[in-house]
Amino acid sequence: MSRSPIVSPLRRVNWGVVLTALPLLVWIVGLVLWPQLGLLLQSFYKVGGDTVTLANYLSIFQDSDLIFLRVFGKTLLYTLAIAALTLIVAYPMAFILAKVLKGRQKLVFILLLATPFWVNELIRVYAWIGLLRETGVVNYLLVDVLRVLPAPIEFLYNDIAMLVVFVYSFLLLMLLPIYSSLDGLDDTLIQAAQNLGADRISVFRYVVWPASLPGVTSGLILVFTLSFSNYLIPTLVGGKSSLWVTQLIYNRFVVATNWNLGAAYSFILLAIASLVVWGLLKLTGQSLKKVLGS
Amino acid sequence: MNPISSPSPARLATPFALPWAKLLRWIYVALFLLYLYLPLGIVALLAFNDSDLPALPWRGFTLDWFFDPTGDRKGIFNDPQMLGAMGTSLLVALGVTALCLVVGTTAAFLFERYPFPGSAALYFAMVATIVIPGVILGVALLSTGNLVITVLRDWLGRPFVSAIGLSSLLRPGLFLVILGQFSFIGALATIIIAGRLRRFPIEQERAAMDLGATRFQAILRVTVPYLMPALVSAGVVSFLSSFENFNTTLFLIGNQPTLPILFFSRLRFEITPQINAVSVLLMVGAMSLGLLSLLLGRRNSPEG
Amino acid sequence: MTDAVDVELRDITKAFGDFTAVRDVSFAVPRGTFFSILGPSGCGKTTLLNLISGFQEPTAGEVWIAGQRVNGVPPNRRKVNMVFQRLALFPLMTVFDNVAFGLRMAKVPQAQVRSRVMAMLETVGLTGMERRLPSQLSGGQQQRVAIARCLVLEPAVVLLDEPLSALDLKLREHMKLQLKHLQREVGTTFVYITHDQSEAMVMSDRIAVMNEGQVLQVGAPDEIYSLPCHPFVASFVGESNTFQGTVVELSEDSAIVKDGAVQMQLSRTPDMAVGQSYLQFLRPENVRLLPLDGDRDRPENQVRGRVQSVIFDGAIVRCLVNIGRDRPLTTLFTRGTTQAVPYVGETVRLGWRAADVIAFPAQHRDQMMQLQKAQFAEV
Repeated sequence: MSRSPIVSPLRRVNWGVVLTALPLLVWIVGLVLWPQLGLLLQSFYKVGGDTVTLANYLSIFQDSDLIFLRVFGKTLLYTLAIAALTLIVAYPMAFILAKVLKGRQKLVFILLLATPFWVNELIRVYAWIGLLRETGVVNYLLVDVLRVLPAPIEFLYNDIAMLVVFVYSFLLLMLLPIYSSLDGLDDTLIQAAQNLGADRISVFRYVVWPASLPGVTSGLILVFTLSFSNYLIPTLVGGKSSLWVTQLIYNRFVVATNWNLGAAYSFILLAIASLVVWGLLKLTGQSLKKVLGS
Repeated sequence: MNPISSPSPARLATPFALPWAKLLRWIYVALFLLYLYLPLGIVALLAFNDSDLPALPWRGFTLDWFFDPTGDRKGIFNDPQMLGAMGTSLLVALGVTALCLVVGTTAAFLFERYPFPGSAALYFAMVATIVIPGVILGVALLSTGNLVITVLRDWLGRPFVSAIGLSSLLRPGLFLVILGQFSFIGALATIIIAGRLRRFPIEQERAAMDLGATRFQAILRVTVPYLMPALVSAGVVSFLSSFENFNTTLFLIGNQPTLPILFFSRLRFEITPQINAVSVLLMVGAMSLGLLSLLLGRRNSPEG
Repeated sequence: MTDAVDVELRDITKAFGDFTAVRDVSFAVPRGTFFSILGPSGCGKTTLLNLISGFQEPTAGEVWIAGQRVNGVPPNRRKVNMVFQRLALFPLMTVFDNVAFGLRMAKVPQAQVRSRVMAMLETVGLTGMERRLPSQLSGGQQQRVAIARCLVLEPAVVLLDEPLSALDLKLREHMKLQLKHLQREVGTTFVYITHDQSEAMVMSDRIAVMNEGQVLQVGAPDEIYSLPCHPFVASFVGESNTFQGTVVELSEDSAIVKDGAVQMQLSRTPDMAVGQSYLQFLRPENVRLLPLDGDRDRPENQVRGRVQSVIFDGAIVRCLVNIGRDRPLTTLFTRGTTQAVPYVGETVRLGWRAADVIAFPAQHRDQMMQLQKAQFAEV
């Protein structure tokens, strides 16, 4: 076969390519890179000041009670826990979907699993508020129906509630990539491994898990970044003590109207998030394009 | 069981089948589905409960929270603010979807067909928008808008800039909301469309040209129909992502709230079954749109 | 067949940077012929195809189609249509719409489109299938749609880029004959690209054998097989016993060439000299099993050996006989002839005529080895 690219007639009409490239460039440069760079620049100035300074960044060490560092650290820890929990909850389902269910049953299950996630995130959070709050359905069942509790308890506004809702919100983002990785795994490989004497655990360890790794990585990255930068769930479901880093940033921008400081906080968030994503990719030996490109 | 012996056909058919494992599996599946559907089901149920609180016990069926004829309860269709927010969200979502489809398609062609220097970096920047926290995207865009207004005023003078409406466009408002949402939803659309374009057998386009079509005709009559399922699902994903967006919208919104923003502020002050009613509407809308795109996508995708 | 020529390449060269894919290629395809371009992958045959169809332009030389020079004419304006390797049927269009596509692009009136498409579907035996989608057809039927889609435009030439390679063996055998009959019936010139010599042999009126960007020989299949004019052609087309030996003795009309332990007589060519190295090719069907002690049949070359293996391939029997060198000598005969099939381990006498040995002067020591590598790279 010819090793050469086919010369398309479009090669002669370069403006066609230019016309195709223009929207993309305006978008990425105008709406993404430039604003991000602008924000980055802002973070190096004090409010109203005109000298470059690291003061905004250094201020995190001078907060009263080191509030930023504490909140940041807690958010990071919780986010990693959320990613891990979601993985544990979603993995078996992804496996069942890819390898146990067949044909029509499989299609029905895919629809069944995907449907709730088309629903607005706010509604999904609201649904849990309706379940868990003091006048909620769970309390009604425990107090009025089953009579195991003398009086309603507030199940909302604590860390456990927050974790449950986080996992609920991002389940599909974990499930789908793992499912599609596993779906691509040839069943005969599992059979071959068994045929060669592997037990269940070895089959999982040497055949199933490596095949699902791109999906797992992609799911972890999505769940991690989206929970890290989430504002709704900690605000609506979390308690006073579950302050999230995005709430802190929001406060700098809106309550304190200190954009420069807010920008600095944002970039710390971005940098740490990128670092974790990078670490995940290194750990699993995947690339961002491979993981998010499909 | 001797592990070396060749497995029986039955064992091959279901590699992980033990009686108790099977039971355990179905318990897990049932719990999983319960976890997914119970909260939403209860939200929907309480929208029709004849009670002033979105709570049990069940006090009878009512449609008051949709259209209250008496005016005591604020049904969503009697609530101008709510209807307005829905309209705003619809407008924004349509704008974002249109932008996503046009730009997503051109970007997909560019990435898949015309490798150019810097293409990988551009792709990376695009994908990064998905993982950049939405709040930051919004804030950055807002401050850039401000900067542009300031610079333009210095150059062109305040009256001119106001006259062509630039300053109002770049202030918080629907235009910025559309741009802000598009800035990351566009990446989702591009990835979906590029994924299918990658699988398009390019020979088909050459075949069309060989049979006398111009390049444009070939793309229009052969490539675009092939891309249709991806375009439908990119459209639905864009529409729904825009309709539900909160984080990016938060900072870019002016005095016309979108539905999630209004929903959020209502949620913080008073919770009435009206919110359940809105939820039911949105759930039904989103679920049917999602199902539609999945089914259309399946029906229209014989592989070349 | 008339004298008219449908495709002519004149001194075509095509380079991609430093790499020359096609070098000084010239040939003419007479109107109405089934013309094959045969060669291993990477030999430049696909480049030739792209040059004829107009997807690529030559670096030097001229392409003529139906009496017109077409350099610079875009693919959609050449009277050439192509059947793609993976067919490239439009999956979302029915059979009818696939075949009608080109006519519609040419803005042929609707009524005429219908009658022409239906007539063409009848020609290729697909009447009644017009509403099916390509995915609902068998491999052979898809093939015919792809060809019908071209023929309906009444092109001067149909180019076929290994369209059978995706089919399974049995269907491929069947389609070979079908394609040939179809071409006969419609009378359109077919230019067929393939690396499979059996496809080329079965279907073609003429074959051009290519290697490393050059056309080595153009001729009828029989000519290519029995009178190869280049060692590559001899080794690529058909099966051969091969030797590379040195001339040890010359007589008026014959020469003796020695390859290790094996010494054979062959017809002399004028430029032979003692000490020169020669490549020799001997078709297995020209090697005959002789009775051990008979002396009625005395070809010039005879050798004794022990049967190493016997391979039955339908009607054909191959015997591999160890004659005291690293590779056995293959002989091939049809089952059911008077010959008794020998058993493994039996000692047999083999013989072949000097005139059946095809010889070329060798350029260097390992040339035969390289030729064989080129051939097996394909398999």
